[in-house]
Amino acid sequence: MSGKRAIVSFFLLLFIISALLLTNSRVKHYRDNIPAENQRAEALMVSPTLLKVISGEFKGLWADYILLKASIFLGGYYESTPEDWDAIYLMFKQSLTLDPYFFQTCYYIQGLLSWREGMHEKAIELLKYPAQYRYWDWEPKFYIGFDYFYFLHDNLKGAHYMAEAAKLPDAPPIVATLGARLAQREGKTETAIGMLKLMYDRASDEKHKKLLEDRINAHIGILTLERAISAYKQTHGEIPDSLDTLIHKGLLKQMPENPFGDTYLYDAETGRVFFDEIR
Amino acid sequence: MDRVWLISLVTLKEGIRNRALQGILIIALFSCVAYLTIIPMFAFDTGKVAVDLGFASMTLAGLAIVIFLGIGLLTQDIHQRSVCMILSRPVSRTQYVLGKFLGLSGIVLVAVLIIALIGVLSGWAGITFISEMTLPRNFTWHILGVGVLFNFLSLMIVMSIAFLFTVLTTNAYLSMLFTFGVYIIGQSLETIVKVVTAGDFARVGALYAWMLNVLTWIVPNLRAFDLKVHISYGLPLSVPYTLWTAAYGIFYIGIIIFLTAMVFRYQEIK
Repeated sequence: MSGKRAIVSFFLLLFIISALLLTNSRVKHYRDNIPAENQRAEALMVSPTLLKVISGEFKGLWADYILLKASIFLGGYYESTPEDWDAIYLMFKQSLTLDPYFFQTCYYIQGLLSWREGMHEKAIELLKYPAQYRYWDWEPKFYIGFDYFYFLHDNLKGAHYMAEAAKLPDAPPIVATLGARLAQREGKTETAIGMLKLMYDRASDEKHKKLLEDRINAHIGILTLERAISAYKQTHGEIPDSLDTLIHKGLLKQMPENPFGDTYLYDAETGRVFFDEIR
Repeated sequence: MDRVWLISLVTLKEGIRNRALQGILIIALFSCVAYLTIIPMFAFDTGKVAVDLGFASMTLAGLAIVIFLGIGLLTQDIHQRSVCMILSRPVSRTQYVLGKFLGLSGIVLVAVLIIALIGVLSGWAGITFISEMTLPRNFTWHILGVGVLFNFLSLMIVMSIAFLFTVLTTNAYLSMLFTFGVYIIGQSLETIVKVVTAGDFARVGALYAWMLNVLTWIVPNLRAFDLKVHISYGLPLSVPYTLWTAAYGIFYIGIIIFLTAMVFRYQEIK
């Protein structure tokens, strides 16, 4: 009797295992073939603040999970819709509210929202969180400055954030030089000089110091020319035809030296001065 | 004091016999596996992810001990009247409460230390074998140590509350429910008050805001003991803050255990 029971039990177990393997393989098949239109980014539709309240001491872990969820969707080669990007934006916002220090979120926002999807304003709005909290890190401020300059063509705000980023300890020289260029484009040459001087004081490498010194001198030259152009405009009611006019009219004794070329470049229509071809 | 020490030792042995440590080891091993599988999915601030995972394991193990083992052992003693056996000897009820509390604290301390040690070893393995893994910014052992100690202290606060509710209700389920409720409120009240007073998210009346403020003097502020952000991002941790918070935790535990002993002293054990 016990032998018979053992045989029945064995076959029952065998049947259950086989059924489990079969059903699991079918589930896998259906899961792997879910149409792309059904693969949607799903954000928990709650306010980030509320999420922070209910997450308690696990808010850091929750932020990691939300970010992983967003990155799994984005890395899954699914076709995304505007609704998906709204959900991803909410996930990034939730993740940043839970952990505003997390650089990974910051990196994804810049790389995906700003570069991939062109949601520049929303990217800037979110990047302001880590820019405020990661007070030691130049990168979030640099991303904001870059987005203002490159995507939104707002050089003034771009220069402001670049200047903020340039003040931070490990900021590379490019941040200050780019910021200085943006500031100068907006007629804020003195700001540009200040930014470059800040970098010059902090630089230890002689080669780098020389490069910054040349840039500072180039901007001082521009400032001298801008002041002379302004004086000319006050007297004559219009901007000069060329920079040489400033010398002929006695507003300049000589042309300031340009460390990056023979002379300064002048746009007679706008009255703006440049030290190189990059405008 | 010898009697308190004896009861705490017996409680510690009882907890170990209850296979609490086996459960802790399983959680610790799970967290170790989680480190090595989840961390490579991140490219930046991997040290922060490790801190999140490690402390989450520590808290979950500690809460499991407090809520299931702590409340379970105490209600078992009261319901099975084994407490009468102890109290029939020259042991006061206050000594019994203190001894039980210290014994269970010992179990939680062992759990926290085991998980912290496994976390550190996993971190070392991660840094050695996973190229993406980095130490958190400005990492120091003493901030990690203070973080672990504060985690233990917050668990002790929850345990003292569990003791009070167990003695008040003498019902394990009610006690678990109330303790968990206080834990949730203690973790979120500070944020709720900030959100409510800032007025960006929700606006409430002055009376409600005042009541919430009063609650912050009654319910423990468990958020103050959460130093994960300081460990993860190397944020400065001031000595006065550390000392004041530690003292606040110790005095909070003191008052709750005192109340528990008072209630227990006048309670009729049926």
